[in-house]
Amino acid sequence: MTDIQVDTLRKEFSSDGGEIVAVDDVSFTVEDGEFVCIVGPSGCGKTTLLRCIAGLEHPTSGEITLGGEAVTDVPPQNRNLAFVFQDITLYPHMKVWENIAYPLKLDGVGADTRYERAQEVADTIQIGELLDKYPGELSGGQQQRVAIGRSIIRSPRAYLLDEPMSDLDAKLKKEMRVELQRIQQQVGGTMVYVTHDQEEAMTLSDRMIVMDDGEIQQFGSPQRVYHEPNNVFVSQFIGSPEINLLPATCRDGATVAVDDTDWRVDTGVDADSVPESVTLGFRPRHTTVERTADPDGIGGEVALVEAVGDENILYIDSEVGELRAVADIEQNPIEEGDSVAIGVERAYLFDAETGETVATSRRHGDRSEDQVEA
Amino acid sequence: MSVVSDRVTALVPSQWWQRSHELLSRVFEDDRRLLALCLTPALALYVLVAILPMVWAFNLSLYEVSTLNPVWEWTGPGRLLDIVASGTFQAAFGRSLVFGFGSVAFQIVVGVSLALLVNREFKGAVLARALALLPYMVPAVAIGMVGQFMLNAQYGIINLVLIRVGILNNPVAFLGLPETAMATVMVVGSWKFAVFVTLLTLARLQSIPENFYEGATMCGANAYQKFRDVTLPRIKNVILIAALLRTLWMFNKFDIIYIMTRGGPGETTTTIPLHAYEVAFNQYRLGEAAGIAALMFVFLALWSIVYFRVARPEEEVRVA
Repeated sequence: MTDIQVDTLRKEFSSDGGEIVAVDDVSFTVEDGEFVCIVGPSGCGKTTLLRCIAGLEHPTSGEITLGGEAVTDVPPQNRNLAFVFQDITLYPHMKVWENIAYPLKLDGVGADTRYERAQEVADTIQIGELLDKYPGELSGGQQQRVAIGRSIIRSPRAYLLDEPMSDLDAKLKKEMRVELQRIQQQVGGTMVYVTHDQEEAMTLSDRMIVMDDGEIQQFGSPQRVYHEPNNVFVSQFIGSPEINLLPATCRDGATVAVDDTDWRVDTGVDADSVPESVTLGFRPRHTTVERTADPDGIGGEVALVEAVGDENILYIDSEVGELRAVADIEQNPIEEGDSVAIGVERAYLFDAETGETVATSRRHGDRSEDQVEA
Repeated sequence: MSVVSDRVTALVPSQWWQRSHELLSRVFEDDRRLLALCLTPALALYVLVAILPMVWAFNLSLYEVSTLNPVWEWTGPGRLLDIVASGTFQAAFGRSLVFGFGSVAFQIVVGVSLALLVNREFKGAVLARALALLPYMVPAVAIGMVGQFMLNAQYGIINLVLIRVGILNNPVAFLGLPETAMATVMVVGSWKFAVFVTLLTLARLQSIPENFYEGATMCGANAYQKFRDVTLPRIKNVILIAALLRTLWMFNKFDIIYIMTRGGPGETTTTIPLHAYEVAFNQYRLGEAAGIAALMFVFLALWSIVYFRVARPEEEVRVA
């Protein structure tokens, strides 16, 4: 297997409105055997980046190295990478086993051997009984399994997956996620997985790349990206329900004043380098919610309660718009119409101008293991 | 506006409106009535221009009919056997086979190649596609006349170019030599219809999603393997249909051959339709000509049935 090095990769597309920079001088390294998700909103350049690694797009500038071999000018069919597409590109006129063993057919392997190898792979991905069917007779999840089977049959240097599960329904997605992790452990390959679903990225990755606007916003473990976001964008994109962001002013050390209110929040940050104008961020899960008739400080009236399993997600009407908080259904039952006060347990301060993270409160003393990258 | 329409509606009693609405909705709600309504005009026309003349020709082929004698003389179905046994018919039939299948092979090869060519994405691809389809709009007569001019041994541009390039030493009368006449007529008669194949194939090619090619690329396929495994399975049926249609039409082709060679030199380009024309309008043996036409019809019908059985062009490629 192999590691993937991407060095100052740039991809521009020309369009009627001039040049569009899809990938903007991006550099990173995926280690051998690592599962890395590239996550970001649509149009952030994540698929283009993956297609550049695959060779389906030729980068405008920059270098791609696979296991020490520069492949920037190597055509895609000679890179020995597997690619799983969002639209499942099975051959409708070939049976499942022919589809799975298609890469072997291209290598000139005889039909008997191909059938045997397809059988082995199909057993691995648990579709052994479907070998003699046509793709048109399979369900979406089965088809995607066949596509994955086709990608693993030739032991490629690395697997590239472009939103392979976005067409599957929620339950199937969860199943396939587990399946994919199992397959990865079994075949032990380097995987790069593109998705717009932050939850998928959080659960699958060893490390994840958060992209926006053609640039890497953060590259790190899911824990680190969640708990120590590099900037406002990352904090907002990762984590559900979405983080609360309020414009605020920081004058006297750790205490910030939320603009247009008389709310004061003690963030507990080390406030040396904090600019005056900041954005205060706190996650709905990092709050305490208390029912009170007249909230003094952050709070308001609960407009909507979404019960999700053991917890309620609260949407609260406040002076500065909607706030989100999470409360335990049994320990802290809150209903629509209640007035609540919100206590901030952990806060992030972002520079209001640049969006960069300037300070994070550390109330639980939980430091992440790895150091800041990207 | 409202004044005018008010006046118009006022002229028509309201119950008429209502009745016509009721009638229409009754027709449109009943599938069988709607079907009958839509099908009848087409069916009537079809019977009039296709079925009746066919029956007429079959009937005619059983009589001896002369243009000078109004009396039809019964000869019976044995006449058809006489036609089949005759040497001139057999020779013409052989030439029809050569012309028909040869032309279609040419059209398929050129047509599909052209479709693959203009299907590529490049600057001006849309214009190239439009230009590629242009020959289909030129009438066969014009193509035949222009072809004669271009192929002329004294002043034709094709001889000129071939001599200048050094392929020929002396001008060749392509349409005047028994060795070259058939091939020449096939080529001139086919380039227009190659575009028909292009038209059908191109529509199909455009419907193949790009990521199928990318998927094959990632599996390690080269250009030929992509053509074999992605393109060909998807255009195979449309090519089979085009081949069938073209074969039927080329067997019945009359205009281009008649204009360019009148069946000559000698009889080297006299195919069945020209033979039938010769018998009918030069020898005035209308009954026999009808018999030849009827035999041709029987042959093509049988061939279509066999073709559908063997090639199964109606089977769509399975789509995932």
